[in-house]
Amino acid sequence: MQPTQDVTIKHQKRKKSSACPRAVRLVALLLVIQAAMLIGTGIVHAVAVHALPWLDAERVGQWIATAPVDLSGVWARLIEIGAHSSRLTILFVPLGLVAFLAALGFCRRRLLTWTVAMTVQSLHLLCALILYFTTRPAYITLLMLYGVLMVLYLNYSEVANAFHPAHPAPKEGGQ
Amino acid sequence: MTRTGVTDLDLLRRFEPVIRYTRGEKFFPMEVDAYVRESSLWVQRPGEEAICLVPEGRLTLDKLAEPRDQGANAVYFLKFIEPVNIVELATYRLNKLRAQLADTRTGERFQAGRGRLARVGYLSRLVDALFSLTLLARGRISGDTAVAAAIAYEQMIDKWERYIYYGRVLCEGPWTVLQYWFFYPFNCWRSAFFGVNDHEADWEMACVYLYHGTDGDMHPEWVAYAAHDFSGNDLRRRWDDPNLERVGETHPVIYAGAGSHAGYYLPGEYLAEIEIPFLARVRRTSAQIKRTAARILGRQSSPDDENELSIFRVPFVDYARGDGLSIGPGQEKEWSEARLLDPLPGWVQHYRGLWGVYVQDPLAGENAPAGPMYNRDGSVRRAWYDPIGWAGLERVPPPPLQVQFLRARHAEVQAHYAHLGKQIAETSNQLLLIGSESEALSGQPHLKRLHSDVQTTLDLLAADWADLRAQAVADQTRLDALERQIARVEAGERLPPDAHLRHPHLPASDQEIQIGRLAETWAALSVGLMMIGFVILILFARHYLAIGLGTTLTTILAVEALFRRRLHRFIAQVATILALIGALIILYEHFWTILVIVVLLAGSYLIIENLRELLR
Repeated sequence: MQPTQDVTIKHQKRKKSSACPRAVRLVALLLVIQAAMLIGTGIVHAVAVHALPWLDAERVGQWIATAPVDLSGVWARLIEIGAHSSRLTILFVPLGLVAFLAALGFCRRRLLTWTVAMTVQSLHLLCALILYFTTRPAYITLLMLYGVLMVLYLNYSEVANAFHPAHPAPKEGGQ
Repeated sequence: MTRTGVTDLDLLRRFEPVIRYTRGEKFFPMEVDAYVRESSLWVQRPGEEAICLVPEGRLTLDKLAEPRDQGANAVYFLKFIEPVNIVELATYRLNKLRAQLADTRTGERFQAGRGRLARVGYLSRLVDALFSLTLLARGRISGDTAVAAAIAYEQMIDKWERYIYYGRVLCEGPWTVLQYWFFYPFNCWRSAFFGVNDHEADWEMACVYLYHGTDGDMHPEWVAYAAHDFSGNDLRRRWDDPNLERVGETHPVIYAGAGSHAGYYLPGEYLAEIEIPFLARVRRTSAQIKRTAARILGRQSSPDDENELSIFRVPFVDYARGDGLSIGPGQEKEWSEARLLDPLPGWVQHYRGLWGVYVQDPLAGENAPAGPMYNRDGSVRRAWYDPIGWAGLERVPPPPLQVQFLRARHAEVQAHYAHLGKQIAETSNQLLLIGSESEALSGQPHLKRLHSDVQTTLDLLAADWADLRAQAVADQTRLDALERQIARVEAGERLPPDAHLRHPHLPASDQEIQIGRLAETWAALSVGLMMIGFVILILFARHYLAIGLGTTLTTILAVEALFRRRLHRFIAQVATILALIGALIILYEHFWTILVIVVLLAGSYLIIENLRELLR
């Protein structure tokens, strides 16, 4: 009985893996990376734009001077980001969370998940374009490029067809 | 003329169609004599006032056929209606209102279906609204003309209620074509049924295609109904098609569009579009871009894409419900008379002008049509001189001749195949001879030039040989297919009746018609809301005009997409547009960097591929 069971288990495993194509898993991975990138950028900018103005610069300076690690570079960078950033970047945090949720639901291959992923890309690109035409931060090209590639990849036949119901073949014949 | 002992008129009457109209239809097929008697003949020369050539009451069909020479650019036209005075108009409207109220109580009145506006997209409605606004600028039939036509027609019907069609019988190759022409005094599609146009006079047509059976009798095989300016395979239906309704087995049923009188096979509401000439090129370019994008991304176009209405065409609904008067054998009203157009009357052959008023509409929709034989520009209608090709039947043999044609083609291909066999053998022999010579000439410096010439001949022969072999294989495949088809036809097998249809005109489904009240309200309000929003932005927030307009339009389109259950497509389209803008910016900002990266990537790819081959 053992060999038969092995064969059945192997067959089930193969079936399960074919249920979620490689391209779809790759998109899920790319969405996770995008989520991390957006959340990270969002948090840094939220701190720089929203938190820094509330801090007492003199006390922070004293704290940095006594700190065991040299944090003066980080502090200066945060001030620079705060000066050249837009309040819009706070949107990156919820956008990243939605991208993460979309990535989690991607292997279930629901049309809704694809739509959510596409919505994330739309908002991502919209924010990137607004930032480009306003504050133009240094990372804007990377941000835009990632969005463009994601849109391309989500529209790629192997990914798109996995989410859309198969179209019937065109009718043959005619006289 | 007789065919198998039957006169043309008998044949026409045997297969004459039944026409079912939509409730509320005002005009029905009539004889042209009475119409012409009530009309006047006019000529319009460019840049001049129209001149009356024959006044109302004096015009006859013979006079209409008389030759006239008013210059090459002159447009001849009939004028059926003189505008009614205000008292007549008011009386008619009051009577109609009273009748309509009574009809509403009894359910006899025409009502546009729920969701009529919501069935087409927002941008299409915008184009439609703009198209409607152009009616103010271009020539059009005024509202009271439709009323006057209805009054005049009612008076004619009261005097002499007759339903008449004109017919011709043509022998075109293996087919006998019965052509039925129906003349209506007025097309009130726009004014009475929310359609695209109104015009005086309307000629509609239906064809029945017969063949000689082995029993010596004539058998119907196809029918085709004229519908707007459509032509080709999608126009016709096979006699055994379940979607072709028949009365008493020999009378095909036409469902006439309300006001437009276009012919349909199934009762229902048809969503179609007309092309605005100057937007045709834009539409074609847009379609080409879509196809290219789909090809690049490796995606097949979906049925949704193919059925999707273009925003560069004006959408309209043609109501062909068949719930009104029915004319034909065994119906509420029977055909009073069939008039044979043989010999060809002068009014058909010699009068190339319009059969109703010429309003100088550049889009032509409001100008009256010409007679059954001619187009508006005086050229002969295709449906008249080529009724077979008009319905895409020029390549279809009648059933009894199918095997004969298949066998004839099989013999042709067989002969070609045998001929190819001979050519291949000869070429092969030549190749071997010259190949041997080439071998003998090689490696000798003093014969280098000669060897080169022989080699060139050899290469050409080899190419010919390869081409002949490919042709022979193709012939073999053809012969196999023909033999299979002969066997199928001999066994009585046929293709499905709808096998020739690519984009048949089908009525809207119940699901499409029953769009919610909310969607209907939205459809009615959205275009106006957009315009009001635009004005508010200009007046109160001019600084945010671009952002405001973009946001308003996106919101409206998103709501629209939600109602039409196409939200995912809308989002994909928005993302694609944004990605395109982003890509252009990146390209603009970092052109040289991108170029360097692309070259580096291409170089690396080549190295990896070559190394992989080397190490294999």
